[in-house]
Amino acid sequence: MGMYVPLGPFHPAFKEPLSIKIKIEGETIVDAEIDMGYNHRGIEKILEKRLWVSVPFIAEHICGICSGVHQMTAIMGIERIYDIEDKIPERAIWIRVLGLELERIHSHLLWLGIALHEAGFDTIFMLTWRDRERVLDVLEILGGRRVVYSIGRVGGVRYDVDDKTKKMIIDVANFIRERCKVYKKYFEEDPTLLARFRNVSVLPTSVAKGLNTVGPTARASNVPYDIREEDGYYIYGPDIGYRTIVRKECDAFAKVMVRIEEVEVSADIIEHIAKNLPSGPIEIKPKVPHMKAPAPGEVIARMEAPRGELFYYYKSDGKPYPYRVKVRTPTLSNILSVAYMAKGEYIADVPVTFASIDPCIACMERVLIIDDGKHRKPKRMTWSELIRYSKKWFKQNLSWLKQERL
Amino acid sequence: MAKTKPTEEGTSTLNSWISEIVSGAKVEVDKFGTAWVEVPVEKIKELLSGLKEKGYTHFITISGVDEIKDNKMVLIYHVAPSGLSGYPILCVKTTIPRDNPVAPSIVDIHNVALVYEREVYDLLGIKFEGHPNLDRILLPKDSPEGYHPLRKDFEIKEGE
Repeated sequence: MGMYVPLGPFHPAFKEPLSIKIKIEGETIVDAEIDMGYNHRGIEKILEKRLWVSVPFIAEHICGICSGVHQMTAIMGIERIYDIEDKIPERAIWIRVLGLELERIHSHLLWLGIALHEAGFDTIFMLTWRDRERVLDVLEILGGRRVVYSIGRVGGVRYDVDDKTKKMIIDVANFIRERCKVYKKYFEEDPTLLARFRNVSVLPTSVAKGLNTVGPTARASNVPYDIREEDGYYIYGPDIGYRTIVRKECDAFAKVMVRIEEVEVSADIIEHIAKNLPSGPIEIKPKVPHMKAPAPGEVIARMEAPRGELFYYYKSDGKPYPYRVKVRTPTLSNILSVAYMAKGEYIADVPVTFASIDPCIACMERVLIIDDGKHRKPKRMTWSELIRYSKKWFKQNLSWLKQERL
Repeated sequence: MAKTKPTEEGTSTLNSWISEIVSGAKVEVDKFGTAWVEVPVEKIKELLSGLKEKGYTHFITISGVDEIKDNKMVLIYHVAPSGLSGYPILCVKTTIPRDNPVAPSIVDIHNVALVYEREVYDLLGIKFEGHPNLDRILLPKDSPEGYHPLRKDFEIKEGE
């Protein structure tokens, strides 16, 4: 018995295209199947045709939220390929970490807003997104853009940090810490929020380990696995204020609390950096020439993205562009846990369960499928076909629009 | 901090664990602290399950590389230690023929490989024997046979 309910690929509860087929008995989910592939853009193939030094600037377009960590991990791998990793100036490394931690704050606040929006609490959604703007302002100063900010480049960073920005960062850190207290209070005291998040989407520690979950999803299930601690890359360590956050509750509430506490940790780190930023150059001299071909070889690089472990693999065959780039994003690692967590839950809890892993579909799928409305199956169009189709569509629909307005 | 930074003791212990399972295999640690080892494809399951018991429980991913010049495909299994200190991240390389790319599935050892193996199959056309549901994952399900974009002889045509 039981019936299937398809959710997605385009559904009001999901912010990005993903299809979940759930089998229900009454209101309870007994099975869930996840289908993806609605946002694959072939970036790994594109990267094989680009110069090594321009790879980071395309890699950051993999994700619109955690663009910085994609760029930094790409740079880390390329600096290993060129064998200049140990020559990077200290000040550049500190500014990179500053960018990474600011990104973690804005990504977690964005997630917190979306999770609460899924639970039906739109006030906090508005508040967290307002707070997030302050962080985006700093990122705009650091990189020149708000979302895809390109702070780093192979050999260092693009812009220096001045005293005015440092003061702004300390203000933001204090502001964020105050706001975190408020959000924590909401979650600990509000009975409606507790009812939506407590004992929902439980992921036991053994399953979290067995399914190799990463990032806050794992840490909320009492798995202390953080790449910042495991690899200790760049300057990460207890002396800059870093600590690993672990919660034992294993439910959606724990996932919220882990992220709020991580925002506090990141606020401590950015404040420490703003106060103790070492002086010196921000880039190696001379710069890496664009057409320089590195020696053949293979390297890996990994970092802790806001959603978990981000992994890059590079192979060079001695040409100025990569032979192979492989990207493994955290959502692909966590997606199996959604199917596990959804089982036994109510239909109404699916959005919260799905949001609890902080999914980033754009990251996960990195071709374009166009449904022309007549075909049931997705159809692949050539460029000229697409142009013809869009002209036809606008002609038909716009004429209709004009009539309507008249 | 930096638990995955290899110590001499960690590297030699890892070497002994691997040579117990695959005789003659030797771990090479590069200057960035990553360990690389090459093993025959028949031994891959045995090696990964042996290492999982010792503490290499965190399975990162599978990278597939099309070596068209040598007419072979290379699979790299990246595993990391969890709860150990002084042991490096390990990349296990294995080579399979390009004309008939088949490798054993490791789903029963690392469950998360369910998605990674489907991704490698989808983009490179490497078949995994024993995978319960080896289907396309990222590209459309009705893509033609032999449509694997990350192969080196794949030509990008207009509009695709």
